[in-house]
Amino acid sequence: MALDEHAIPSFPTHQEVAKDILERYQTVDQRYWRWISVLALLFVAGIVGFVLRLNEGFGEESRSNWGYLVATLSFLLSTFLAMPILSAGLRLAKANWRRPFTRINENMAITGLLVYLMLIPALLALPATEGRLSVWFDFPHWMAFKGGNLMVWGTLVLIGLSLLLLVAAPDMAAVRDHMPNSRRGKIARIMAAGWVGSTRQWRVLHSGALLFGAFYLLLYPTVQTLMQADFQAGLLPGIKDAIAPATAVINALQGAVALTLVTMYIMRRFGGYERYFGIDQFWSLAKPLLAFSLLWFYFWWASFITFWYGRQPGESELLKLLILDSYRNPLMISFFLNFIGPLVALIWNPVRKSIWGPTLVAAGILVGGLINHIRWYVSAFSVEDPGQHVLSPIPAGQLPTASDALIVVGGISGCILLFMLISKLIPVISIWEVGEGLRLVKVRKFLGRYAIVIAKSH
Amino acid sequence: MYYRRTLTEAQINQQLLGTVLTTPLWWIIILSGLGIIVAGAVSAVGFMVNQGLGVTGLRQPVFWGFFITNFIFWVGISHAGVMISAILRLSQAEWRRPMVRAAETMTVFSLMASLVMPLIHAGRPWRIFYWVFPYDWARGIWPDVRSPLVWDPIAITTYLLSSTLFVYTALIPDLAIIRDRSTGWRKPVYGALALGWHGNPRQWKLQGLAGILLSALILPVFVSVHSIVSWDFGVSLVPSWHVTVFAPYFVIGAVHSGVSAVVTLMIIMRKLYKLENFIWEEHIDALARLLIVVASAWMFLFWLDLIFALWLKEEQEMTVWHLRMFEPPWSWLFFVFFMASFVIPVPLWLFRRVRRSFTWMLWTSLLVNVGMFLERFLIIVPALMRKGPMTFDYATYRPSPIEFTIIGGTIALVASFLLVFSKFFPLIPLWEEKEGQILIDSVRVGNVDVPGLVKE
Amino acid sequence: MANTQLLGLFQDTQNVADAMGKQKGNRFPVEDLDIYSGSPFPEGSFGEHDPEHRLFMVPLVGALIGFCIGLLWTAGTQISYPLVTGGKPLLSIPPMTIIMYENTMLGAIIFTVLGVLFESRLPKRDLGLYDERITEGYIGLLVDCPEERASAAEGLLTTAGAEEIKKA
Repeated sequence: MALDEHAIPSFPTHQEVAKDILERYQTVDQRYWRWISVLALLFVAGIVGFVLRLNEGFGEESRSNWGYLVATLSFLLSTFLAMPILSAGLRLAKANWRRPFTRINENMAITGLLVYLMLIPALLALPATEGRLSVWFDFPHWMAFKGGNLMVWGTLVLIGLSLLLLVAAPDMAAVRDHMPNSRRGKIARIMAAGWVGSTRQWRVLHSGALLFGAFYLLLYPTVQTLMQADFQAGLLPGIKDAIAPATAVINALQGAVALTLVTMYIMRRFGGYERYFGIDQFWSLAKPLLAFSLLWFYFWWASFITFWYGRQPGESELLKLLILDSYRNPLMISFFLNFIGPLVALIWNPVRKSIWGPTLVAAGILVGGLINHIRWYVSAFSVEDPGQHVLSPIPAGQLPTASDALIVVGGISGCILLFMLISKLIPVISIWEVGEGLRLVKVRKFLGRYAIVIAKSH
Repeated sequence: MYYRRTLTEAQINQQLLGTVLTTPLWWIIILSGLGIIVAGAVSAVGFMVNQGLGVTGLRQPVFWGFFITNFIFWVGISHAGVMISAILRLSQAEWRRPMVRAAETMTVFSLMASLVMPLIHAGRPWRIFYWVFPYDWARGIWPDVRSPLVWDPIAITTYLLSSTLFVYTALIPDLAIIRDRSTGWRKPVYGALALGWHGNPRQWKLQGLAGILLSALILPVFVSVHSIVSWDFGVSLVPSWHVTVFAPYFVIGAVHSGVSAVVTLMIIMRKLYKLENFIWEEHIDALARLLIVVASAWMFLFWLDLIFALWLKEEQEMTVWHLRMFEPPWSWLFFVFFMASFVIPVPLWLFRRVRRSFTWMLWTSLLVNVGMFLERFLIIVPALMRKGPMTFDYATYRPSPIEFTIIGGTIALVASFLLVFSKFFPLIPLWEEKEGQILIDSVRVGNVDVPGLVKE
Repeated sequence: MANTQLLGLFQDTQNVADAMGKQKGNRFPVEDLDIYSGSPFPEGSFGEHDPEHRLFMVPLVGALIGFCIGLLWTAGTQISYPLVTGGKPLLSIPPMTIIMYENTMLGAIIFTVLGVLFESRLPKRDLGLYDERITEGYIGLLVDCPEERASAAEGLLTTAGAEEIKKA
């Protein structure tokens, strides 16, 4: 076979990419503002729902009112706030294909602000730790549990934002230089913090990105442990589910990959970013998506088989609540969307190696994930007396009221809104990362064909 | 990373087939020594079968001791093979190449050693046949599929068969190389084993697909095996065993000890077989970084186990943990386990100089496995010592010299299996090394040639 | 018309790629050419024929068979000798699932290996036209052609720079 000149893959230059991204950054489409308005309205509706719930107070009798807020909080923690982990993890693994979407993951750190705000009413909704099981044991209630949570969550949000600010500096410098007189250019000047691109600055950036990423990676499981321990396990009498925080982390990783895929698809379809989010990105993310879907089942099963086999009185009641009875339907739905569906779809090469396949599966995973979080937390918040030894009576499944629906929709819309706003301040494609990647790629003739050579910088 | 002097195919053949085509004196000496240890262990087993299980330290209520600890330990070591081979193959990590076969082979032999342990532990191993098959139809009983003790052998046998097939499939091209280099009786034997391999594009394509497919299929098996072993404990109601986190905790612990064992193996192989051209600092550096991640995940799961063990404030649970952590000699063992598994090695691995030092990595990897053996021991024995609710049921456990001998024998057994394997088959895949060399390239950035790889 | 085979041995891989490229469509169909190498090259490096296979279906078939065997023996043994243990139902789905899962995976893996061997056309008793130097770094270019075209094939291999040409 003769070398086919038309088969030679080609890559843009760093300059072309920078020009393209800055041009997109500069022009703000009308569609963008329309979507901002819609999201803002939905967010306000969420606030309305929250205020309606607020009127009923935080007492023992009204604890079940807050289940959906807590479920939303957990869902947002396990999707939007898990995305920086993807950026950190793939940077550590030196995966070249992550470069186009890494800024999406980092920009999502901004949603930590809303999530942190939502944490406050969630903590207020919890009963005192005295007389019930708690990971804080007999530590003074307020300091340990509310103070501890606020501190740990706050640190996570801070690290995420620090990571974002650090890795965005070179691109903010690009914005500063491209649009020096505009309002965004002036903000960019501050955020660029004097970035000139010296060797020292690049070294600090690379090391800092790795360090902040590692800290985020290490702290995130702690946050999930507190989420599970305080908002679920602490309210379910007799539960001893050590795997629950680990399950939550794995589910969060699945959610993060899924949300990245959906975001890329939307940006490709409606934002015209096809050249950045190609088959390579979707295919590469589809593989960990399949792996996390299998792990979703594995972690669920490890918990289930221990309780099922043990047949202890307390465990049987919990099985009835979470799996076999009250919340069986939500479990079945999320079982299908988070495990069966992804398994059956993604084991096929043509589906995995496509744009639509992983996106469809990812969308299902997000819906399933939300339902799963509702199962975990609404059930826990509907327990009348968390101080019992064995759960009795087993509460029935609780459907959302209008306020609950508004809170869920408002929370998700708020996070999307924040992401869209920050993406108009910090370029949503990382110019320097993509540029760095392009410098490490070349095309060469390899015997009877052309091949791509990818270098790995250290 | 792996961009050193490139070797010709002939040079790779010559250097990696050294012990296959010739028999060095050190090989005979070491195998003899290992053989003596194994013989000692076999004698100990014979003595135990003759005298009864009373010669061990097993007493009511501690009926699981060193043998079961060793069983879990070897199943744990076996997880290295799939971790290195399958996961790194699927993630296209180039640095896996020199270690895949050694890791996979260690998996196979570790599983064999682990399967031997329950047989020895039974005391009268021949009675296991009654348990597996209906001895006569009048007995009216099959193995109870509801028991995790039935899930165990099925899972381990599945993993053993799968790993063996995995090793063999990837070995075929190398068998062809040995076939072409052999003379005399070896030629038809290797020829038969090579199945007539030519090395045409069809065969290579399918070899590549086999690697990917088998990796993808064996990964779920790898996760399930040690999970099922963990459910021997997890589904029981023994205090401190009935924990949901045991499955991933055991699996990640297995990966931790298994990958550490691969590090040990690679360093010893490099020294004995003079593989400096194939096993470099970069490889153990990469393994050490992997170990940091794995060890950190393991530590997270350990803390979950501890926190939620104390969560319900159940008396028996607290008693077991108190025994483990505060009552000597168990507390001393706990201290050694904790230090050896995590506190000493992981901070050391954070330093590049340590990661790239063969001496440091050898000792830290050995330390990890000492710690992980103790970890399994501390999970099993203290829980059984305080199993009953009444203090008159409390007992202690002291392993006997017989048990120590048998444990030592299993280590010697696996080592001798590996040694014998290396006599007939290369421990580093020749075709993988050659493929790695073909794919080496570089990208010029400014004045620097950045090492790179050709992507298919 | 009897067919014959010629095997050209090359040290330089580029010569083989050039030979394959130059002769395409002109002299010998690409299906009648085969490359022997001691190590794998990226697909298409020599412009060789892209082999078709049905390997991806094989693990599914094996998994199905393994699943059925697992279901048969777990359900069958318990029904044959019904003995309730641990208060669990006779046909307890969670434990059965574990064993059926293992059997499913084993079936898939065994069938995958068999499928790989089958699709690789192994085992092959007779090596046929082959040279041991192929596993030392030489590349073999095998031409399968009618007798009367043997000289043209020999010419192709000689022009391409073959060090030695073997005939069947």
